[in-house]
Amino acid sequence: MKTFMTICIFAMCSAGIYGFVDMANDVKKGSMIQYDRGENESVIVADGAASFAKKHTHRIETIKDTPVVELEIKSDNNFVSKKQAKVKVQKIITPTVIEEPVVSTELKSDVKVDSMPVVVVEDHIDYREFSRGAPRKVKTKKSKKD
Amino acid sequence: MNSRILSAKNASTFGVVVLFWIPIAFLSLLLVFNTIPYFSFNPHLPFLEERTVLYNKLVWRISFYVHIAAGSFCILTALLQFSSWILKKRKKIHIIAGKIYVFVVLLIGAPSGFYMTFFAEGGVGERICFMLMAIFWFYSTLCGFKAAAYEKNFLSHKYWMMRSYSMALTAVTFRIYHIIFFRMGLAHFDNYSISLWISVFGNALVCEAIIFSQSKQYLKTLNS
Repeated sequence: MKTFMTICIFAMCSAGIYGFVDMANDVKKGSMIQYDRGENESVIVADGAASFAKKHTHRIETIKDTPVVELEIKSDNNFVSKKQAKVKVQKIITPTVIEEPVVSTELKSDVKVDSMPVVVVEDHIDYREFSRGAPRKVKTKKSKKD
Repeated sequence: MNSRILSAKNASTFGVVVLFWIPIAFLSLLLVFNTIPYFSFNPHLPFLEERTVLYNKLVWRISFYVHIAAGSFCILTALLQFSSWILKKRKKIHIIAGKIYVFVVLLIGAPSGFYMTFFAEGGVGERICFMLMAIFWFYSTLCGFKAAAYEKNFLSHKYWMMRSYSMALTAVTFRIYHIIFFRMGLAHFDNYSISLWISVFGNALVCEAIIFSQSKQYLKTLNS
């Protein structure tokens, strides 16, 4: 019993020392792992939204009376927060110049355009993935219409 | 005592046990079930894909697989340990499961987890939290084992093992908090950090509160 306990304490101490040395080596070499802190996720969504808006620019042009077109962007279940899941795309249309879509991560809008693609954001959690906790990665999904 | 008061007390105890143990058992089993795909040794699983740099390290890779295997054993065996029926009627099951738990935690789970804490997700604070958790998990299990095997102090054994289980259960509670805070709209990194601290210190506090409420000899166990 005493031997067992000594071995266990030795194992724990060696794990600590080895871990510290390994980490120090990684830091020294600059190869220490950098985790995604989740700051880029809204950007990924925004990029996806912008590319959809770009693809369908010719359809936006048809709605000349509407100065600002807001789309509710929806995608699949891998958002970190509800706030990030709601992405607003604004398209400012002038009679001659079509500007780049402005993407912001704020509120959703009620204004929808039939011809526009709708990306569905569901903050649904797959509980079969319980070991991963809440979903982390962001994916954009094309609508059925598209 | 009045039989009505007695039956009301029994009913409330039963309710607490059912409300506490059924979700815990279900989520523990779900967690164990979710670890099964990792044993296909497929490096393209989401958790491992985020850690490709670490996965390429042989020691980290071995620690990871050993840790999840050990964790599964810990969670499964620990579920049996708090059953008063097993303790009274099938003491051998308690002893065998306890030996497996102690062996797995002290020799495999805690050391491999401790090594992995140096590379854990999050900042320095989160890594320190993981380290404290690993050390306290190891220490409480060691004290619980010592109390039963050497000192034959089963009250102290019970309380130390409750502390040990509270640390093992952070694997489950962390995910519960993580999902709750996700639902509340917290950003990923804040969510991760808050869930971690709350699960570790929350579990420890709840455990101490249960121990305190159960025993007048609480302070004695701390000195043993």
